[in-house]
Order: sequence, then C-alpha cells, then structure tokens
Amino acid sequence: MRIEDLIRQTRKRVRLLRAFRWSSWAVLAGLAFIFIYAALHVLGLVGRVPGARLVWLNALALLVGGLAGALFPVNTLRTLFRLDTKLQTGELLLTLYDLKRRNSSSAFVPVLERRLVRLKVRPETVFHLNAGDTKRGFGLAAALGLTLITLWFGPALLQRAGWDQRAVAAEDTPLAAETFDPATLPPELRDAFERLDRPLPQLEDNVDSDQAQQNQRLIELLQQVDRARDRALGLSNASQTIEGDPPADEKQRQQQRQQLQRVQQQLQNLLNQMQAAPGDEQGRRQKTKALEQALQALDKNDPTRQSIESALNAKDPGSQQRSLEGAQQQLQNRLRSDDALQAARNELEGKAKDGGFTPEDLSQLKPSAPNKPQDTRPQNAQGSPPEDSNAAPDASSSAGQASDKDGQEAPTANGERGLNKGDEPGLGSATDRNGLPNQDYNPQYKDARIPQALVPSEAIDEWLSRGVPAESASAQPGQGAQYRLSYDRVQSLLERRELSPGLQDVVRTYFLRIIGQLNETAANSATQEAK
Amino acid sequence: MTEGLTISEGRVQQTQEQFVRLQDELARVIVGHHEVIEGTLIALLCGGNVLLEGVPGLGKTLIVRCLSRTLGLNFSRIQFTPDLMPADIVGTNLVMEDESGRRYFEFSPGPIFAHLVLADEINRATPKTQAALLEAMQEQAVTVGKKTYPLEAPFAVLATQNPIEMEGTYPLPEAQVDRFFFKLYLRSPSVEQLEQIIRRNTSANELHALQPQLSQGELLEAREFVEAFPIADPLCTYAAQLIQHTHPSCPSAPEPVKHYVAYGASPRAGISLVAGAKARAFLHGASNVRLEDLRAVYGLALNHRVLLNFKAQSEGVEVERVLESVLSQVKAL
Repeated sequence: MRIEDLIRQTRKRVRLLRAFRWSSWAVLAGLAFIFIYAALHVLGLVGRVPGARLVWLNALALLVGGLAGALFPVNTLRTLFRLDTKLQTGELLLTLYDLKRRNSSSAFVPVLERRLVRLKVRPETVFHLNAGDTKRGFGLAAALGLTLITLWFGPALLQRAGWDQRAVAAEDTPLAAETFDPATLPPELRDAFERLDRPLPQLEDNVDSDQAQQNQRLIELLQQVDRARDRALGLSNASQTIEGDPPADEKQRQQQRQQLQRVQQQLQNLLNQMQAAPGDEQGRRQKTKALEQALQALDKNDPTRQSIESALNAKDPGSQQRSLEGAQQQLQNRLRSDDALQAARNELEGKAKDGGFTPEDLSQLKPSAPNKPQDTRPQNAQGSPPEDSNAAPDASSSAGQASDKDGQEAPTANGERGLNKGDEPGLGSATDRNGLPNQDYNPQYKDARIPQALVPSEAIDEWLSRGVPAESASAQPGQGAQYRLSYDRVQSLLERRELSPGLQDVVRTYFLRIIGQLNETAANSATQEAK
Repeated sequence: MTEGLTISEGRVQQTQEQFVRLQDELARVIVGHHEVIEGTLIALLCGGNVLLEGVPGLGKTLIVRCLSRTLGLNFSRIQFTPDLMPADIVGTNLVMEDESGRRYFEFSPGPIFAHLVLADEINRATPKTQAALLEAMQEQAVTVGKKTYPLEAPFAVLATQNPIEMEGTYPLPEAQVDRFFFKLYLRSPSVEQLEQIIRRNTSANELHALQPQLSQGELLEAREFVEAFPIADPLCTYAAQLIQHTHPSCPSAPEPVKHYVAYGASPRAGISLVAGAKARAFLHGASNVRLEDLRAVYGLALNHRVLLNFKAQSEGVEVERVLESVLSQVKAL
C-alpha cells in the first residue's frame, strides 16, 4: 500500500470513529442537561419544557456531534504517530509521510516505501470498532433508550409513584359521568372533539411566543378564575360582566365558603330529620325556623335563596323536601365548583412560577383587593358593557335557572345527565339576563383565553375559550341535543395532545364544571317537578 | 547532508549486518559492556569522540583495542601524565639532515595520527596538553608551527577518566567535556561476567584472534548512510524540546531541572542526540529514526552536558534522575 492510500484510508476511519465518539459524547451531554434541567424543574427553579423538544435537542446534539466529528480536520501527523505506536512500525509511517510532505529527495524514501509495502499496514486494525468503541455504541444506545423512557414514561411513572399529587388527586376525584358517546354531542362540540384528534403542527411553533405577553395572559386568566370563584360563592353580582367585576380577596372567599358550608350542613340536617320523621308537626316549626336562619345566613342576592324560599313556602312535605334537596344540591355544586376553580388557580400559579415571572408579575398574582362596588364602565343599551352584550349569568348566580326557563333536562335511563339547549357548560347557564336562550357561547371564556403559547391548536383554543355551544345548530327550539361527557375520554384526548398538566387541569376543571352544572340542572328540574 | 546519495537498500542492510557481526566479534573478547560498545560504535558512526569513565581494570583499553582490530583501523594509545606535553601528542618538527648535509625540518607525527586514539586518563595531563588533544578532536587536524596536518578519517578519540584518585589531576573543563559525543560509564561486572572475564584472560588470549569485520572504507560508507538516515520533523522537534527542557529557565521544565540544574544542555547536545539516534537506528537495522532511538541515546548524549548546581550535589541528586524527569514530562507529538 502506498503511503497516500494509507493516509486516505486512515483519515476516513478516523473521521468515522470520531463522528461516532463525538456524537455519543454530545448525546451524553444532552442527557446530562436534561437530567439537570429535570432536577431544577422538580426544585421549581425552571419551567417545564415539552418532552418533544428534549428529544429533538438530543437528536440535534447527535447530529452536530457526528457532523463535527466527521468534518473536523484530521491531524495526520498525530494519527500516523498513533498508528506507528500501535503497530510498532518504528515511526516508519510518520517519517515517510513527513518526507513526502516535504518533497524530500532523501535516498531513503524508496527504502521506506518498500518497507511499508512489506509491512502490509492496515489502519482498520488500529482504528476499528473494537471493544472500546462498541462499548461507546452500547452506551449511546442505552443513553438514548434511557432518554426515551424518561421522556415518554417518566411522567406516568411519577404519577404512579405519587410524586405528582395533583394528578393523583385528579384521578381520585369522583365523577358523575363515566361514559362518553361522541355521537350524542351537539355538532359543534363534536367538531371540537374531532379537531382534537388531528395533529397539532403549530404546537412547537407557538411555544416561543413572547414571554411577557404570555405572562400577562396568565395573569388575566388568574383574575378570570378568581372572578368565577366569586360567582360560584355568590360574592359578586351575577349581572356584572367578568371584566367589570373586581375579584374579592381570599379571606372573603373563605368566609363565604364557610358560610355556605354551614348552610349546606343545616339543610342536610333538616333533610335527615324529614326522612327520619315524615309528617312531624312538632318539628315543622323548628324546620321553618331553621330555614329562616339559613335564608338570613345567605346574601340577599344568593342564587340558592330561591330554592330555600320555595321550601319555606311549600304546602306539602314532599315538595318541601324536594326543594330542600335542590337547594342542598345547589350549594354542594357551588362548593365543588369553587374547589375545582381553586385547583385551577393553583395550577396557573404554579405555571406562572415555572414560567419565570418577574417579581412584579408575581405581585399581580396575589389576591386582589376586595370587591369594588360597581363597574363604572359605560353600559350599552342592554345595560352591560359593550363587549358583554352576549354575557350570560355565571353558574352560581343562575344555577337552577336554566332549566327553570329553557331546559327540559332530565336524568337519562342510565343515570347520565343530559344538557338541554341554553345550558351553558362551565360557569353559567346559556341564558342572558332576561332568561332568554343564548345563541352564542359564554363570553366569560372569550377573555379567559388560554395563552397562545400554551395552546396547541385553534380547536383546543376555541373549545376551551368559547365553551360548549349553547344550542346546536340543528336543534329545534325546545329539542336540545343531549350529550354525555366522560372525564376519561377527555383525559385520554388531552394526554394524546401532550398538554401540560396545568392545561389539562384547566380542561378538567371545565368538565367538572359541566358536570356540576348538570347536577344543578337536575336538581332544579326536580324542584320544578315538585312545584 | 547526502540528499543526492544513491542508497541501495541491500547495501544498507549489508552494512548493518556487518556491524552486527562486529559486535558479535567484540563479544568474543569483551564481557558485558554492551551499552559501552554500542555507544562507542554510535560515536564512531557519527564521527564523534567518547569519554569513558570507570575505575581501573574494567577493560577500557581493551575495548578500544578490540574496536580498532575489528574495524581494521590504526590504533594508538597515549598515557596522559602531568608532564605530558602537546608535542608528545601531536608530534613535532625535527631537524633532519639530508645526504648533502643540508638541514631541514621534518614533521614527526605524534600518536594522534591514528584512526583510534586511546587517551588514557586524560584528566592527569595539564590543561595545555588536554587542549591540544581537544583541538585535534574538534578540527580533525593538528597544527604544528605554521602547518596544519589533517587527520585521516575516520578519526576518533576514546578518552578515559578515572573517577577516583582525583589528587594531582586536572578535571576537564565543562566546555571541553561538551566536545565529547558521549560520556560512557563502565560499570563493574556481575559475578557471572567476572567469572567469564577471569576465564578468558587466564587462557588463550582471544584478542589476537579477532578479525576485522569492516574496512576503513566501509566504515566511512556507513557514516554516509547514517548521515542520510531520515528522521521525521516531529521527532526533531521532540529532540529539541528534550534539550530545551533541561534548562531551568524553560517555563515548562520539570521541577528537578528547576531545582538542581545550573546549566542545561547545549545545542551540541541536540546535534549529538539526533545524530546518535540515527546511528542507533542504523545499528538496529531500521530505515529511519525511531522514537525509541532518541530515548535510548538521550541519556548518553546529555549526561555530561547538563551541569547540576551545588544544591544537587549536596543532596546527592544524580544527573540521571534529572534527565529522567525531562523524559517523563516531554511527550512526542
């Protein structure tokens, strides 16, 4: 073999091995970065990065390492010296290459060339995928496998191990509806579900949106949740828009919550007494007194008052019991809604923390000042702010009203609840303040739009922000399409979309509120029937 | 350099084999001292001179005698004493008278006019006499009066020095020691070697049975081969770095050098190192200088050229240890 051929072969092999080695180092470095990042994330120092990004990061590291290894110049002298040392050729290759490089006319060049031919040097005997390189290959494969396992199965394993308490708690939450039949959905909701099944190409593109804008949106979203809680607890005027309703502070909410819990317990005791001793005239006065106390405990605008008053004015014990059950159910639903919203708020706060909020941003996340008396913005012809012309009362304020006015909701044969037209899933019923069926979605959600950076597609964005259509396009008045909801189905769809746990919670909350609304509607229907 | 030299690979190999036979022939008489013999041959192939140091009776003179025989070269011996004069070495002009009675000067060459000169106990002569010898070593010529007489090639001085009995001696100045290609130390033989020495010297003397293995011309040809021997640039760089790192002023010099060395090796040491490596590679049948040749010759070429300071002497630090630290630190390529 000529020295030129030998050098060419040697360089080729060196580049190949170096590409292999460098790429493995790069992947290992990428893995180390991932693990460090994950540790920092667990410690709450950095935000969450999508798993796909980390996989791409490692793939990029592999590519860059490999390319750099293959394209980086080879130090021929050093390589030949290594070859000489390994093959014990006494620096023959180095000397011959050096003489050739210098165009030396040394009489020993032919002598050295003949020696080289006799030696039959084969660079692959030195630069080959021997045990060491194979180990590197195994290491690389193992590292890659570990990465994939970590990224794909890690979260699930963490959840199973109980590390993600929120996820575990969410799984343990009892749900009223366990089955889901997409065919039973209204067309628009069905479309939204179908869009969820489509790929989400813009997921990665949107993540790099402006952080400040994202932060601002998160803050707005938090305020929306606070206002929704206020409505659920009856702390705000239901006729006010969600923007014009300054959120209460947390202390007020807790006090109100305790008050509602006391009333609920009071009603529950009454119901127990009625079931234990039906037709007890002696206890009738006590019941009346207890109901009056409950009414006093509630605010004059509290939505549950109506049911309690119905119970108070009921002629017969049966209708009184049904009214009480309805009132008790309403309170229970309002408290559950508050629970779910509080969980959503916690998640959003965690997200804000992970998202690198500045101290100024975080200061805005603190509970807002107590309720301001009234929204001072100009009102439109209907008496609401311009952007709220389609506004509907929130769930708490109008709970029980939707079915009173528009809904024909009734429990289905298998115990699942149906929603009638005009029932607004989420925070409120789809009726305007005049009690008429709303033809659009709940505008509360329009402003509670999830930040663009976190929303994978318009489908989810629309679905989350606009809510379930109040009335299906094909439905005739009074014949609202019924549908059933399944938490598992939604959960599986969300997981397939690789949504972050925070976003999943938002969606989960949304559905919990739908279920709460179903229950409320059912209770109201029962009340109506009783009447 | 002999860039235009036409070298037959077969001829090179043949000469290399002759040197192998030469060493075998020497081994018939000389017991042990392989390093000394090889070092002497290397110096001869490089046209250098050798300083042999050892206690009396180790065979210094015998080595030189045997070499001259096996190489087919003239040999002369000069026993250095304090009263030895330069003229006793280089020769002198004698007043001669021709047949007609006319007187004229005729140069009578001294014992320096030989191929191999054994300067026995060189440190016993006065510096003036030593200088006369050293001039011949350096210039390969002697000047008597106004006339310069070249010394016939190959010419080499093999000087001996006794490390004991230093009274009444004139240790060679460092500048003159530097002119010796190698300084070789003769070690005391082992029991087995001693037994062999006794047996050989109490029976038939093999010295006279030694046969020349190389002619004068073949030795000179071998010198040309060695001179043309190829060495890669990175190895030359390595040799230079080795020399550089013996200087305490070198920033990357090892700690022993910084602490114990007064003066580092001279450029002549670098020349000796590379030339010696070439000769060693030739003797070992190689076609180019190898890293191992440089490392093998490194100690021989530098041990008399690196001067230790008083601290080293007071702490008993030997130059070999300092050189070893340099060899450990400096890496090729």
